Amino acid sequence: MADRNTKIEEHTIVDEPYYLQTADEVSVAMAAYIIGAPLLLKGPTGCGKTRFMQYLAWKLRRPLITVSCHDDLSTSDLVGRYLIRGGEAVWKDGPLTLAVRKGAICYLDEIVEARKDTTVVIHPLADDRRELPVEKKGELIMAPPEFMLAVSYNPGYQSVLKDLKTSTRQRFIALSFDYPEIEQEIKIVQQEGEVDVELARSLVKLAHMTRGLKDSGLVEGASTRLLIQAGKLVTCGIPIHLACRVAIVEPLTDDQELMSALDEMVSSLW
Amino acid sequence: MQITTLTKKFFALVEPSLPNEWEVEDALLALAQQQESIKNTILAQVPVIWPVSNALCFTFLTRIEEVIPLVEYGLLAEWVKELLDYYERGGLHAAQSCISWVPDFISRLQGKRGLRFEEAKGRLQPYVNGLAGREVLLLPAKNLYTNTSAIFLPEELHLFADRELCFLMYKFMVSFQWASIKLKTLAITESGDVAFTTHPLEAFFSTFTDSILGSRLYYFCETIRITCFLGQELPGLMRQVKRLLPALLSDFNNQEETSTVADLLQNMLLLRLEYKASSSTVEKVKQSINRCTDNTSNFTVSKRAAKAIYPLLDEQTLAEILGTPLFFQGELRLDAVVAAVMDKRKQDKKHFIGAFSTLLMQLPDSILDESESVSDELQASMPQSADQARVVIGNKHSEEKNQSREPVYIQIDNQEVKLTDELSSLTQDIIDDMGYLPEHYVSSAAGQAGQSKGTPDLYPATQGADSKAPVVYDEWDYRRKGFRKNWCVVVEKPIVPVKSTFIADTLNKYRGQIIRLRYQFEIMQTSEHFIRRQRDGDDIDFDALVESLADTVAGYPPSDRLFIRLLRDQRDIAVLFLVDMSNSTEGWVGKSIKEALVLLSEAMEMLDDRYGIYGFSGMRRLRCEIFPIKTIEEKYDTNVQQKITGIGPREYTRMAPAIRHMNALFADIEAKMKLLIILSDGKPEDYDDYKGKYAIEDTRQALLEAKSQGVHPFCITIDRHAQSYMAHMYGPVNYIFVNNVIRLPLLVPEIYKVLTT
Repeated sequence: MADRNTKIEEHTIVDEPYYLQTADEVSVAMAAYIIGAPLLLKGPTGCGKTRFMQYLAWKLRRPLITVSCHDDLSTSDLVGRYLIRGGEAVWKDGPLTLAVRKGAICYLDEIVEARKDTTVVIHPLADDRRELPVEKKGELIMAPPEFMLAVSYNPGYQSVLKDLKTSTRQRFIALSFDYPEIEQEIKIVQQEGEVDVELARSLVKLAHMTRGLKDSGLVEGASTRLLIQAGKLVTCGIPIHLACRVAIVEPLTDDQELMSALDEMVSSLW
Repeated sequence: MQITTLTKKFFALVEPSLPNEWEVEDALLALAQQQESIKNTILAQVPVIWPVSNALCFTFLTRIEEVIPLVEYGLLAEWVKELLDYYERGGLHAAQSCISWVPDFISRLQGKRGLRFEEAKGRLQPYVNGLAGREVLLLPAKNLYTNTSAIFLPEELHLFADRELCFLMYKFMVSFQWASIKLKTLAITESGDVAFTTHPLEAFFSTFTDSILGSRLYYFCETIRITCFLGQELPGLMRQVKRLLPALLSDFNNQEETSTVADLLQNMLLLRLEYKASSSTVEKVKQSINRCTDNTSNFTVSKRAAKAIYPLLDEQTLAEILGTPLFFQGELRLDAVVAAVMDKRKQDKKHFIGAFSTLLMQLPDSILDESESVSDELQASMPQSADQARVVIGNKHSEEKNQSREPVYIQIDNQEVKLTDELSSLTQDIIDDMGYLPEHYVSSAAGQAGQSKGTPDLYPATQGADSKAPVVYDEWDYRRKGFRKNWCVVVEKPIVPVKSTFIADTLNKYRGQIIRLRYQFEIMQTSEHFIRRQRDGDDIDFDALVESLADTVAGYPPSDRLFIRLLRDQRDIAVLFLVDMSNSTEGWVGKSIKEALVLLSEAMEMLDDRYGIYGFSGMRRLRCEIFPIKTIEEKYDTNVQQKITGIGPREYTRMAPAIRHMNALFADIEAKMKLLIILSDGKPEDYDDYKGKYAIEDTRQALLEAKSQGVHPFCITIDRHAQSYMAHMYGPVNYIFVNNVIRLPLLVPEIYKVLTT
């Protein structure tokens, strides 16, 4: 038990994470928490979904356990398994079980990456039963009112094989995220990237240029996260052109023509 | 040297060949006009070219005037080597183009390699799209100019030896023209009359005694305004350009580190003015130009400045200080702007009337009748110029809050018609362009809606003898939220196989890519992954083993699934490609679609995925045609290839019945995953009322039907611009735009790969 206690404390968010509200998402999420409904966050990559969860956890004063989903994630990885310790079999809770026991917030990031049979385990947790059966232990854990489940995915251009099952989707309160408005994004980049307002403005300008390139073959434009990283690199003394190259241009595409067009944008702005 | 002597000399050179005498004479006519030394140098190359190709030798001689500069530079022998290389690689045609590139060759050998527009376009097009946030087409032309919807760039730049500098110049030209579009230098804002034929600026220029000089003065003031704007928006670019300009403008002095390009241009002008005018005049000119640097100013400031400066100086001085036009400014092509704007207005008008009449058709009759009578009455009583006063437009609820909101209502008499999102943004476009929405657009739409209402749509179906029995499908009418029963008659018609070099050409053109695609598709087919916790397998699953041991110790029955096995993915995919064969696909679009189908079929042969290809077109609801190109059972063979060749533009795009027909085909196909990929070039539309919202909603419904029976639809749209209805029709992630049709052939297999892995 002592082991478990120390673990959950690690997930508590002590300092207020920086989050700039764009609409009513915080009040909706708070209401969802009160009525015990799970959250589904949709939005392009790097637009602030994870940060929003951190902020929510801080505001609700609940620990936040994040699981990044991948296609090898098994039910045991979420629920827990027996391990051998000193010749004895010891049960070890998985992150989901831990969150349910402790009334924490469990956030399954990029849930579509996980196999569909794995995600079915969250079904009884995500409806009004709010229970988690731990088959191996023969235990049925009832989630306390403090527990919250949240999942996220990016409905962008992707394989049709990767879509959320309708039966999974229809259990959630869904919040749509997008890149913030210009002025807000400038504020965020300035605050998070620790740069001056001028640089932040130019970075946001660059991001908007890249986001206009969907028709030219760029699947997704530069995310706010990329802008922040570029800003941080500049603060660390990396010249702006190089910072944009490594933090924005290269991560966005491998297409030579698009890369050089993006480079031209960078060299025009600075 | 007479032509006879020349001919004799020629025959001696090509011995033992005996070409036609008249042919030789014809070829030598041009050479006979040249100086003796040139003749000899040229004839010296005949024995080099003749053995390779007689025809090439004649071409070389007939086009001698283009080649002569090479003689002057002493580069002829070098160039002939290259000519023969071209010939051996690409035949006579390639060699002919090599003759056209003589100037290029000379500047290249002189170290001034320059840059061709085609080479720079790949980088520039996305760049300017990014700047503008929409597509601004870049097109090659003789000179630089813009018609406000596209930017025309010189086909080649030879200003610098360094190609990077040439590129920078191109980039600056593009940025400058983009800024001039953004700042509305050439925008037509004064004339709302749809029938205008001249640009309002033309009238302004004619107020100067020398209108050309007036226009140049205005454009210079605008240039100051534009460079100022660029200095703020793209400081990096302007810094690079500042270093570049002195090489091209001898009196462009960039000694002062802190000054901007706009400052330096102003200084350049003032410097040219020194000693030519009194200091008070110089001061006045300076003040006038200075006003153009104001951030918030618009082009009236430049007009005023031009008006103020012109009388201060005599015309000769003015011409001298303006000098030759700056190369990055480009030409002021008012005629092109007028043509482009007229074209856009015509398109907008057509779209608006089409969309608005469809909207009106779903309203109660009373509105239509009223609007018609109102517009008739007004048309009779009011002069044409009062067109704009008749309709009140605007977002009535948000006027005080936010002026820039898009219009939501159009008032017809006392009734407000709520606009759809698409119409709203279209209306906003029209208002942005003309300042208001002309009443006659609204009345035409009302008239059209009134006429079409209740018209029976009965046209006899004409069918070919080979057609299969027609199938009847329902059509979705969103106005009544229900189906029109048995509304569309779909008939499968065979496509006539066509024998041509198309397939061979395509296979040859993309041979490298095909090899790569086949390889990539092969990898897809043999996609393997480890599955854990198997009863038997290739390796021990340590996680499972540890767990099992732990379970045993804990007193649970241990699992026997302790192995990892390498599993080959079973792809059980059936896919149908539905190809738009409407008449709008004529030309490049159609060719690219066909090439795409060839490439795709070549790649698909590496997979076990079953696939079929169908074309669709037709006219009116009683004649929706489906052309089977390859059924799902059919093998990809010469017959299919010839049918692909036979694809050609036909009639209209009534997409929904075609989709419903595909759904019906899918119902008989067993597959774990069913995919419907639609290749289209725009909106669903038919000859009758099938357009606008009605058509979009019907198509959307057909796609929803597909989804409900487990078919994943995906659309590849070839369109210049992203249309707002697309996301609504296909769902936000179920479509992709291809704005560059050349890329389509390679993109389609790529998209298929992404969709199914």
